[in-house]
Amino acid sequence: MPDPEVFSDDALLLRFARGDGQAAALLTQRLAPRCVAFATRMLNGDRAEAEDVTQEAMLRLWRHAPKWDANGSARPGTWLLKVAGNLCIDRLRRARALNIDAVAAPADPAPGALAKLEASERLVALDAALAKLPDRQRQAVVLRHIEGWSNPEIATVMEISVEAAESLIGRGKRALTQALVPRREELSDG
Amino acid sequence: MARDPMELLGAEDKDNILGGVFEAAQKDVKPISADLEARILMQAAQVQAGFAHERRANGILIRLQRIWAELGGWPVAAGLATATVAGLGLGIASPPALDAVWSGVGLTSASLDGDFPDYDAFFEEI
Repeated sequence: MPDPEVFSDDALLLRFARGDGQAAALLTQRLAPRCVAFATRMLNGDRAEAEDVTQEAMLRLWRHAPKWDANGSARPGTWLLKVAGNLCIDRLRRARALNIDAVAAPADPAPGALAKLEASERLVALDAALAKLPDRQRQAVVLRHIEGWSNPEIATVMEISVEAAESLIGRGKRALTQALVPRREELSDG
Repeated sequence: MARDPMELLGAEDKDNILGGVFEAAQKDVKPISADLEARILMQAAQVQAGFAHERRANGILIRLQRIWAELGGWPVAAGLATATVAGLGLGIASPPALDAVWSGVGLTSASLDGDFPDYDAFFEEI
């Protein structure tokens, strides 16, 4: 089994392409949890849907492995979140096209109530506020402030200018602040 | 009239609110379920099997290309095709057309007939 300390994600992906089955297990352990977390936020808290998105994104990563450019600028983790983000937006658009009422009046902006009981108040509040943002704003804010990407990285992945990315993030943050300010007392206690 | 709560807060307060929730979210990465891991790894194995099949197919193709090159490749094939067509043409051509050739060596197409065995009798017996 390849030593996880020694091999980068790029190296593991290349090993996978050459037939190393253990590389797939290591990459899954490294990349899938964050992808599920990201997709769950993008999909307004729907973890089951987020798992499906993660499975699909990982499948695309496996298929892309032989063509992977280890010297390129993209890392498997960022590549995966880019694909997952696009898959999430596609699903959200399809869901809206099928059920316009669900968009007009989202009954529960942070579904998965049982799971949320275990989550902290802050996360519940954040997810509820994120759910009210437009898809692209939510994607930009999550990538910037939760995944820790730079603005140019976000711009590249979302195929927009850096200025447009900054604008999306700025508007998203203002909307989040506005949603969270009324709950600042309980949030600051956490 | 109640004031907008946003107006009551300074930039630092706003940053504190968001900073706290973002920090909590950054740490909120749970391990994936065993079921999801199994599904992902099953697909990975299927994709890898496809790669192995492609490698085998590519290996056979490369070996065939090597044999083809060792045999002379397209120039030899073109020469062989030309010779085949020429031979077929000569075979189809009427014997009188060849008389000019045979006469040069003192033969005629008719005189050749008697010099070669005739299998007609053999087929008749069967």
